Amino acid sequence: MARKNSTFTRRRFLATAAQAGAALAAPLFIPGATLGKDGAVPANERVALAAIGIGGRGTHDLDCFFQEPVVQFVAIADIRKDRRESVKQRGEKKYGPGVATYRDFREMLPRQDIDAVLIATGDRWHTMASICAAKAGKDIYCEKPCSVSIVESQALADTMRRYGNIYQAGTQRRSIANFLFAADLCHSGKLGKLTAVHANTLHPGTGHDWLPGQPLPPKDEVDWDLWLGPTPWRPYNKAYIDGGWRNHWDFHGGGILEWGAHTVDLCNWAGTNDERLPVLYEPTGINATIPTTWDGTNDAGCVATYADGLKLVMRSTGWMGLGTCAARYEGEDGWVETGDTGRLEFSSGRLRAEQKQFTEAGTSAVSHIKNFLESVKTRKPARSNAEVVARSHIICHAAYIAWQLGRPLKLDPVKVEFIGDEEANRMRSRALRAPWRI
Amino acid sequence: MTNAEYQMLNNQSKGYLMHATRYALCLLMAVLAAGATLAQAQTFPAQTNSKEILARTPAQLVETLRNPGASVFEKAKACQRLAVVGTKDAIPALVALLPDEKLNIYARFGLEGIPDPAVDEAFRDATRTLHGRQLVGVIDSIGQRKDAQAVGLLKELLGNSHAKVASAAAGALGRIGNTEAAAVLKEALAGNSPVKKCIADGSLACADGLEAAGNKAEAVALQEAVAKADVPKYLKVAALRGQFRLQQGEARDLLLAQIGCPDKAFFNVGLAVARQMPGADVTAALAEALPKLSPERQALLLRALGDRKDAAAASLFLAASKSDSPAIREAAIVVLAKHGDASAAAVLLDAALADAAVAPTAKEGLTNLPGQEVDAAILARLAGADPKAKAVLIELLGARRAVAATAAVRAALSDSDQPVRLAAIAAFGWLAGQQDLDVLIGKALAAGNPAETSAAQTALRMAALRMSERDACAAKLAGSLTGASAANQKYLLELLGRVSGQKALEAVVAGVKSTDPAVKDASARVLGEWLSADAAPALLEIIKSDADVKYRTRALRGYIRIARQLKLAPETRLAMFRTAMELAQRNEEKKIALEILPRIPSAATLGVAVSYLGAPGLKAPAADAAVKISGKLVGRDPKAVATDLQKVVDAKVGGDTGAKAKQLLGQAKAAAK
Repeated sequence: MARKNSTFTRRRFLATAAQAGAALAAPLFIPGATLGKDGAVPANERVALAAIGIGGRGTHDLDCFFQEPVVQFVAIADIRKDRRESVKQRGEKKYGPGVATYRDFREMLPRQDIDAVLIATGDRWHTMASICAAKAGKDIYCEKPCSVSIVESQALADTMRRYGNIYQAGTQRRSIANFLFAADLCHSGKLGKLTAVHANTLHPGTGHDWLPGQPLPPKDEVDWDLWLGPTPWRPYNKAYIDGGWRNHWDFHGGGILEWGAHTVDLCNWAGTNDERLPVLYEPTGINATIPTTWDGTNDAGCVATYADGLKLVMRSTGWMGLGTCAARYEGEDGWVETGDTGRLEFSSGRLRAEQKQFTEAGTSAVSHIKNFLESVKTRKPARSNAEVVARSHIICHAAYIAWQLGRPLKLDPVKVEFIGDEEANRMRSRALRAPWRI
Repeated sequence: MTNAEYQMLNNQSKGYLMHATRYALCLLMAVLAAGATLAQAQTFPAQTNSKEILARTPAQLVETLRNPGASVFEKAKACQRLAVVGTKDAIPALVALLPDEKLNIYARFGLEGIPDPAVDEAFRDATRTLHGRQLVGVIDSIGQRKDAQAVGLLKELLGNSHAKVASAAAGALGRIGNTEAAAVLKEALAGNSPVKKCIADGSLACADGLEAAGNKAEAVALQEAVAKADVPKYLKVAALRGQFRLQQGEARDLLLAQIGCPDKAFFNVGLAVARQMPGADVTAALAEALPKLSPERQALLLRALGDRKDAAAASLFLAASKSDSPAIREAAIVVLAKHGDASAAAVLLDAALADAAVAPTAKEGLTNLPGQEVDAAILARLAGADPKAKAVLIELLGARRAVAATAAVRAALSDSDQPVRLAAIAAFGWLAGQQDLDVLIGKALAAGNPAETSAAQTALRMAALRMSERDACAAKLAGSLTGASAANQKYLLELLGRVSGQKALEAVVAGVKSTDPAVKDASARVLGEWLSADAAPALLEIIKSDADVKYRTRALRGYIRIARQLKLAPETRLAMFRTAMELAQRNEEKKIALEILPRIPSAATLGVAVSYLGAPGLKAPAADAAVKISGKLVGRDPKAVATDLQKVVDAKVGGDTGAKAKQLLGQAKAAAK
């Protein structure tokens, strides 16, 4: 991608950044000679990538991006100083000196030399950061889940449509061969008319309690206000920023969404080609207490039904042991089940004869990131674009709302509103802390 | 005050007044020190009573908000609950919290959820008294609620000297998205506001709102205003996209203008729209524009044309596949590979065999092109092909599952050229039928040529997994165990584990009885990972009778895995649990076995779980199982939960499990009354 007017833009940005007191720790300009150690890709075809919030999963994603010759990593924004520094080191080991660091991503996004952004923060930030990046004209690869409410899902899709950015959700199983193959069996009619699709999800529950407050570290070490971002205030505790935010309702969309971002997405794709939403949501296991630890071993979930009678079963138990994030598709002429090991099981020899062998693990983002970069180049929507993931996330959110309320809910799939249930409709959105808005 | 200052004061003090002063100073120092500690320590203890707060009635929740003694936590949770159940009665108490720095968001949470126009009035009123972040938040809430009556107010706020307030007002107007809001935004776009980017963004959102309401002309006008405004390019690009969406097929000339635009951002809009704008005339116009572009841009436009799936453009791609430009050739091959039909086979074959830059793409396309005539075209090239080409063609025939080529591929298994033989072996993995398995088995177990043996083992794995007659396949594999080397037996046993089924199970079970340690080890491992419950009896026999504790342990873990993970009737699962606990000699296995019980939650299994509380080393896992079961049971059988969970609490189990037990016990007791 061309770095148009780069010197002028960087000079102006530096002046602005100095006024804003931004935490810059490296020069902004990366000379063309240092871009990519092998220099194999012409400068105007390179994708300058920045990252926001790189923890464990983000590191994997970043490593996948680093494998791609077209990518040039230029900046990291993270509320944690230790992570800014470790990602900078990682980037400079690959690309040479010059990776910039920012505490606040709002200082980074206006840079016109950045083409795309990898967002791998905690869930609470995914929609907001994606929208901010879109409004800054960037293409986006954002880890799942993409939203924590129905209204966020809609805002995400609306923004991407409005701005025309390439958006790829980190639902990488859409690019993994065994899952593609299983979906193809559905689309090609080899299972006959589909009767049920099953998604491996986790226990839905989250908690509302607060951990004890701890002394706030200096802002440059941990920017707690920015970590919270759009979520409501609560006192700082280090456990939250070390990954312990999961299962807190304010920060997390629940266990159906945790794996359903992948598996419900796969089911909606396999079952309806992403075209429809279920109209009925019947929660299961609703007498379970809401746990305060993340427990995936019981069977609370939801059964959703489409208008044509197709069932989407969200459950955590009864799987065949083919790996995590399993999915199963059942039709009148047979079934197929698969999971992250790449293995498939079939109902019959006829289907088994279609067998292929797959080796890419369901957790690998390699193929998915290639698809993203291809879309950045061609402007063709990515596989997990905002329209399709918004739909599958709405299913997960609707299921969780039904589970929290402990009663079946009917959904108008056009308006995306619950029919005759005001409480459920009130749960479609969550207020956002100023100055963040979607 | 420093210590030195205090000492000086102390030395000068005389009489009661000085004593009193000294006392007051001590008190002040203590308070200051405590304050510093307090501020630093953020005095918020753990808050664990959210469930009780969330269960309060709306009236009780309102009382909580009004209670000056209620903590920030209580008020926060009360607000969040009122978001779902609150009525008009809650509005005053919620509004009272809007000025609070920490509780503003929670109050807005509660208010946003209440569908009463009094909320909108309250928010509008609040804009007159609030400042800073609290004001911004309330403006956002006005936008979230799409309060059309607030447009005049928002117009004023748009001119606020604080950028964040003005930005919020722009955002809110955008969300309201009606004609009045559009007029305000359009006027602001023409002005010199320092938040013009936000105004433009709000305008784009407003245009979407107008479009949704069927007000297309106004939406277009607003998009055009953004496009002409002094705003960054990406906003103009977004406005252009909006115009395309609104004008659909009427915007062909606009599309062509973007395709011809030197600016990459606008060209990219053209690319995206080129895929979507319908009409044969559009295809023709884009095709006509193609030669005027640079090779790189031609390549991109070709791909967009391909995605239009307009048959009229087919000749374009065939011609482009012969271009001198590698970029254009590659794009043509990509399109033909993805969207072509059998007529593209010849071009793709030429590319696969002779154009290294595009060969992988061409091969992928050939793998997926439908039609037996494609198989025939590939097969026809095989005769007379050089070894390198032969290997590629055979690979393609295999990937296509071109059954008609099976004889040719079988013949190539003994070709004089090794790459050809390797390709044939791999292809045979896709093509071999039941009757050909012996050929593959022979090659997979042969010594002498490691590369071919390895290829054959991969191919045999593929073929075996494909066989529709699973037991017949397993019988052939099992029959090959006799006389095979230890390494080959290990390979075959692992393959039998993948094939699965009754015959495969029998062979693996027989392998467990082998006197060869390597065979026994491989068999035991495979059995322990069996994917169906019919391995349970064989595992049980090993647990009871094998002389080696390593195998007994492995088998027990496999047995427990079946009971935990696989689909079983509840009574079978419970019976397997009891058996596992009887046979387990170590707590490591007993702990895993206890995880079976939460899969079969009932008063009976709860009783079973708590019966292990007193077993040495099993208190924690037994308590954990009991708590999980109780979680599922408390609504249905609170009495049983109350009785048995009391035992868990009495056993003084610590940590999260202990805390959960107490919580559930309270719940069960309340429900049981």
